[in-house]
Amino acid sequence: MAQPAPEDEDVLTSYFPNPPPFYKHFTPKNLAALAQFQSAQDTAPDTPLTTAQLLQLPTELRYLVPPAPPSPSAEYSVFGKKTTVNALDDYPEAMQAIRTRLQTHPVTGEVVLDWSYEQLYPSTTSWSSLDRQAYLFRFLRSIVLSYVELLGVMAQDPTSAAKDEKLKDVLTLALNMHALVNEYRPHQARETLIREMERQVERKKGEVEGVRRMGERVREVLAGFERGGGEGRVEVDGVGTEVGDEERRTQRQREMWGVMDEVLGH
Amino acid sequence: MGDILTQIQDELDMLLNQMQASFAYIRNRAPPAPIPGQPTLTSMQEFEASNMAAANPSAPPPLPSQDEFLKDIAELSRDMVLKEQQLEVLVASLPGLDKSEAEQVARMKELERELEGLEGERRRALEEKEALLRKVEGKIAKAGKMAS
Repeated sequence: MAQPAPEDEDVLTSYFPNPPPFYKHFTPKNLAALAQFQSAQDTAPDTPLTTAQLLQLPTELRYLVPPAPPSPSAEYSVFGKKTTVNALDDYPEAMQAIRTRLQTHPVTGEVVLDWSYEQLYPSTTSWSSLDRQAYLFRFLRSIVLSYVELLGVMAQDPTSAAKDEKLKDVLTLALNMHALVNEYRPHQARETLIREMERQVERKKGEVEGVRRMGERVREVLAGFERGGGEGRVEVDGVGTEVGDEERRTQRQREMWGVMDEVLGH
Repeated sequence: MGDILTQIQDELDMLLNQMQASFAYIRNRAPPAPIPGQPTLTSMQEFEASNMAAANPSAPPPLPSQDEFLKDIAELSRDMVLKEQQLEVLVASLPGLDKSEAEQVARMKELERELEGLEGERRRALEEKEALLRKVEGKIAKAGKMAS
């Protein structure tokens, strides 16, 4: 904690806090040294080292030994309040209590908003035994139909009990659709993965094919260059250089550079 | 292919929203129906509303006329039908309907094997590329020596 001021500034300016400084000691060399030390001490790797053994270690290796977990009665502070390790064990119960309190009306004690609904499709364990698409279509059209019916009911008598029934139908249908769609998610995830893999296969095939084509071209041009280059040099050595040959050589060099670009830039 | 499932859920919620919105529109904005056989005079409420609008420009707009109202209703209904069609299209294009889970897994295994094979091939191709590069570099160096 006795860090100089610049360190603090670093912590403040970076989005995430810096890792503890001793993470740099976790090198393969140090880990091997620690394992060697442990085997030299005749202790199993799982048993904790004693304090005396710890003190024998060089400083940088001491960081590699994790400290013992805190005892259940040890206190630490959260938002200024003292708490213990086991204080969060009743977390699910607390959440459940909050949930029921939110769902019930504060005065009448009735359930205000109940998300439980009647399931309108058979639940199965196997995927293909249920035609989800057909059910989705069915529910969707039923929603629209219920809406039209609801309109009719409202036009006749806005206060009738049939209105509430129709509203509940729409809600049930919509919730069923949501549930069906959510059940579909793993299937879609697998399908997406398959497509991504197919794309990768395509890409790699293309890459291999590209390298092969490029290799052929390079070999071709090299062969042409060797033949032509040999002739060209002979002519350079000889004084009478013909313009046509010179042009051909330039052309070949240009080709060469094109291939070079392809090779280097690929 | 985007995330069709989330789209379906979003559009479904939107459809329900539209239904609610059109109910609210009918409830709040419907013009009074004329009684048959009676002269249609401006009612006291309408008279006051027009006076209010003249005096206070920030007041809510006056109720639409019968024709406007019917036109708005038609538009709302068209939007709703459109949304429903959109949902049908989305449901119709659900991915992988004809495949069972086992088939999907088998296809994934197959693709994985293929990918591994291709990876080896790709590595060989890369090595080949490196060799070619060295060869070309050697040629250039030789040519440079010749020239100097």
